[in-house]
Amino acid sequence: MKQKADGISKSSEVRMPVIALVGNPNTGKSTVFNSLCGTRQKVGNYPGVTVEKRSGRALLPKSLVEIVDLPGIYSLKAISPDEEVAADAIMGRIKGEKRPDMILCVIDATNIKRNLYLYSQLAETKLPMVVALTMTDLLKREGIEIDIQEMEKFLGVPVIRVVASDRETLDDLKNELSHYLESPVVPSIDLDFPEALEKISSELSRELEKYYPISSFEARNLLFFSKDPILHFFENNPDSMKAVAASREAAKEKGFISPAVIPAKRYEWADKCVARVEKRNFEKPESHSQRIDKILTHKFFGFVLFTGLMYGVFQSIYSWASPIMDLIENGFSLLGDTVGAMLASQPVLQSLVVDGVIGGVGAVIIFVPQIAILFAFIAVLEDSGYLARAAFLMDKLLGWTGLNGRSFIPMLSGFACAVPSIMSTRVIPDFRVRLATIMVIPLMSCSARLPVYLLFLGAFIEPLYGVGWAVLALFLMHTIGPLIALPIAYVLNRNIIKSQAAPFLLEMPSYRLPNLYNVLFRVYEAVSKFIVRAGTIIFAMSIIIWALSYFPHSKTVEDSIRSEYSEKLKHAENMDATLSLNREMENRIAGEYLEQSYLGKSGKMIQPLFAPLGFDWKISVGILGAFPAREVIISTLGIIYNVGDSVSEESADLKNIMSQEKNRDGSPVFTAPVVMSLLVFFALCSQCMSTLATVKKELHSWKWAVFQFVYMTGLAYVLALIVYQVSNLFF
Amino acid sequence: MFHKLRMHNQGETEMTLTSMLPGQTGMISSIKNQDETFYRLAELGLIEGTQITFLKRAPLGDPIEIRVMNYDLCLRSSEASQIEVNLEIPKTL
Repeated sequence: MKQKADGISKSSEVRMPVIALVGNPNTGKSTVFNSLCGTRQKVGNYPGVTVEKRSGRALLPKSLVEIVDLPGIYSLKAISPDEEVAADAIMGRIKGEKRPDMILCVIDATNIKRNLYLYSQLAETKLPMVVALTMTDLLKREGIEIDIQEMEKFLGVPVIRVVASDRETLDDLKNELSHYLESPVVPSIDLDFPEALEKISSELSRELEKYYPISSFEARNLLFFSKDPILHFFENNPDSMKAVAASREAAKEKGFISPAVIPAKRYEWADKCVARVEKRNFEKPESHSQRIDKILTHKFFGFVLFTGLMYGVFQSIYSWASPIMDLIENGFSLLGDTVGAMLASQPVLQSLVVDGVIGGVGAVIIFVPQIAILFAFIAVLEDSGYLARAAFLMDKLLGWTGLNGRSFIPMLSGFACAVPSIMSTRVIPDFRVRLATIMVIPLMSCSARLPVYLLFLGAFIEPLYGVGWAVLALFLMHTIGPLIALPIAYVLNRNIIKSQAAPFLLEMPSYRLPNLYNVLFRVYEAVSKFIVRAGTIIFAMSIIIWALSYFPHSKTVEDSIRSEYSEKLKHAENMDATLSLNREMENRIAGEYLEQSYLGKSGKMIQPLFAPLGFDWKISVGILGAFPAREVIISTLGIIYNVGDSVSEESADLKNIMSQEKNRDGSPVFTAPVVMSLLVFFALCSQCMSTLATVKKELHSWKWAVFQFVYMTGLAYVLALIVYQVSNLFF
Repeated sequence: MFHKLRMHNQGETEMTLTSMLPGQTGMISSIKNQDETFYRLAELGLIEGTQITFLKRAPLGDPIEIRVMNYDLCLRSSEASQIEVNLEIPKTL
């Protein structure tokens, strides 16, 4: 029964019409969104929450409309911030956000019955609606037939078939949307709730509406649920709260105690629709996906394939990103040299531009290849349906800590780089689990730590104990991360994040081919957001660190060394000797400057703090310098030990010098306990401003970034201390 | 493997979701826990009278995968153990 809605007072001719895109997860909703809006989309924030607002503009035949892609949800009775936001957006309860003029409800044709649950709630909001039926290209494979006309008749709203790869269906959708914006259709629905119940709930909803927008189905929920998030809006109004309490009492008296009646009635209604609309071919007892899953989630082969796949993802990030990263690094070096030459006459400006600005920008751009590759993989894994299988396999391993199976892939990619991994935790719908995952990801030994491990293991473990032990040590270093991360996650969840155990419910979507455009778009979006948001912070920090390691830069430092060397240079025998002397002099100057800089002085000041860990002042400076970015420690050490800053972990000079470095009393600085303590410190310490910037960006507050910094650094300190003091007893 | 078996009539036995074996089909008879966290399960279709098929258990033992309302859902044993099912035993036995 179609009803024409008269005079939608909420849509104004002046402002653009707003269409809300609503539907279950895994229904291809984002594909519809991307197809409608193309690149005309942006991601912002809903005020006060960590939920992203994704909106875009769609060019329909007669007008430009705004489309808001609400998070994929199973029900408007929210149990997560995503769902709360979706419900609030639909009801027009979000400050500064217009209530949508129309709902475009996306329904998965292979799964109509469950999708209709959400539809039945949306129908109760009395907003005009259009249904987009997706996944119709999978119907044949699953042995299902859908009568779309019957569906339109039953629901009373337009139902439009949409296939992502078929342009015609998309044009159809745009035409229909345009048409129905002008002549909106509001669905009616008869869920056959007991009359007594409906009487109480409609009275309550009338009463509450006086104060704040609420729909009939939300009022009905309030009769059964004392902790419904909707109550936030009415908490401060005593009349409303009294009405709620009274209605709950009335409902109880009439015998309405269990909320189970609500899903029961909704699914009864859905059953009626399905009976009219859907035909299932029972010659196919096993679905297409179940056949694939026989292997992919097999007790043995499932794991083997999973491990292989994970290894492949991981390896690709390393091997594909590395050459591009080298290219970027070389490019920026070249740029730095060129610009540096031009500014040779202005040493301070030269250093600021080359080391500070260019170095800073380079530090941001260098992450792009890893982010792009990781996101491409995750988009493919997610859209194809495999990600759910991965979570299924890994849940037991992670569940006891309060994390769940969905945390696994983000954590694994933390071994490559924490920045894109933290961004990829968006696949985790439960906010508290996502938060805990983000908090422990940086404990995974990322690729920036590897050069440092190699340097120290190569300088100290290998010469003394041989390659075998060095390799073992390298492997152990990588296991420290996950071994510590799990108990930490447990403690975090128990005591700080205080997550109540929300049920781990995971839908296994049917396997499908990912949409290339979607994947590319996700990659583009991830990269651009990173550059703009995290990039600004990283850049700012680079400038600051540059300043601290450059100033005060008193000329006298340089002069005294130059005069010392001028004598030697006069007596140089040949070109080679001159060159080598010059290089030595420049290195010493650089070393002196660093020692005299604020950074160097801080290192010396802090050294007593690090003494119990066995670090001398040079190591302390190295550590301080590494706080913004780990790899920096290598070039910092290079400068401090006067072998120049263009050293790498392979540098024989650096290794030699460090292994020979002696304390004032003649004992070696780098003993086995010192090396071990340093490595442990390095493995766990929060020394990456890019990570902290990303944490801040993802969680929309500095609070958690600071907390992460404090707990990781504290943990690193304590464990390094223990390692040093204990190993000193044995070595 | 021990399950609580209560023979009601010839074609049915009652047990919890967690004690089912892969391939078995049953009808949900009741959900023991009625609080808010279990409401979501009901909203996903796990209500009395719904037919479900136990598909598999994850290799590490948890979670389990079931087929309900023509889609596949994974849930942990801690939740699944609250759901009671009447097993449908094929009449040919």
